[in-house]
Amino acid sequence: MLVSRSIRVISGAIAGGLIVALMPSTAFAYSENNRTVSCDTAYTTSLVTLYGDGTLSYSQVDTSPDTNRYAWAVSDLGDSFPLRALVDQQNTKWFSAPARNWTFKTRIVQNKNCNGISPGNGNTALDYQAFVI
Amino acid sequence: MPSVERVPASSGSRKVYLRVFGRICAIILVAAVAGCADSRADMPSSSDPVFVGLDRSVVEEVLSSPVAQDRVAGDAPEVARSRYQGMVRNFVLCRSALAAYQSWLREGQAPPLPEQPEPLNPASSAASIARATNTIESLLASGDIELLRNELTNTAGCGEWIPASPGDLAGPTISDVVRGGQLGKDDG
Repeated sequence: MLVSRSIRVISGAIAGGLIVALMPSTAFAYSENNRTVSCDTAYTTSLVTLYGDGTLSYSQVDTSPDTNRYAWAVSDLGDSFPLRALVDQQNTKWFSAPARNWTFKTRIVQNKNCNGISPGNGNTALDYQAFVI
Repeated sequence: MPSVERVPASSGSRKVYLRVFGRICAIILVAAVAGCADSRADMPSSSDPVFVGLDRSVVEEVLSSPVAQDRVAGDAPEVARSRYQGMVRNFVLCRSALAAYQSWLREGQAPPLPEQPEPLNPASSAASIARATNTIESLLASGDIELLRNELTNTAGCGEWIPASPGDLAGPTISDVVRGGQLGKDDG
């Protein structure tokens, strides 16, 4: 019994090692998520921080209510790729990023009342995807 | 007929109303705090432990920079502190790289990069500044000044936003100076 369990553990470890070995050696980080973000230009939201170099990719999958939003990425040293304005279903890429922790950020392009008769501009539900490839 | 002690209806219902009102207030307060969670990050003071070991004047310059403040917008406080430390070290490194570039232009030979200050409490951005330092050192060792020029004028690089002269937040950036061909040292 003990022997068979040991064999299972060892064969599992070998299989795991194979999977790791077959994984591409290039850095790849991905995040798909949803966040409640502001409809007021005064508020920026840091969405996610991903480590890597090469190409940064960001998609504004959906906002509800619909909003036109800036997206950009800032490194942990404060260096930044330029802002891009996106609507739903739009994607943008930034190239030649050095190896850093990149924080994807978003802010609405223009104030929009997402709040009906309630005070302030309110929020929108954002679905997004972010990659470092 | 047994007498029944009656609790004044107004007293009991008032307690219930107050309890409900208190809960509504708590919910509104939580919602308001949640709504503010994506606002601008709190700024650390120049005496924050994250800056110990770094030049105080550069720390104060970075903390007063509107661009730096914008770069931490939306960050959680700990992330902002790490990024602020990274920006202070980036200011020093990028200006060292500019000085080395100008010296290379003037003298025709790449100087070594001066030793960079180390904070007593390295933040998570320390690994990135180590990589950035290695990059500048390898470019200085490359023998090709164009590579260093490209690094300092890169769109997403330090040269694009860090002021060339310490404290001159409205002045030319490092990238501006490199593109302008200024040699430094009174442009002799």
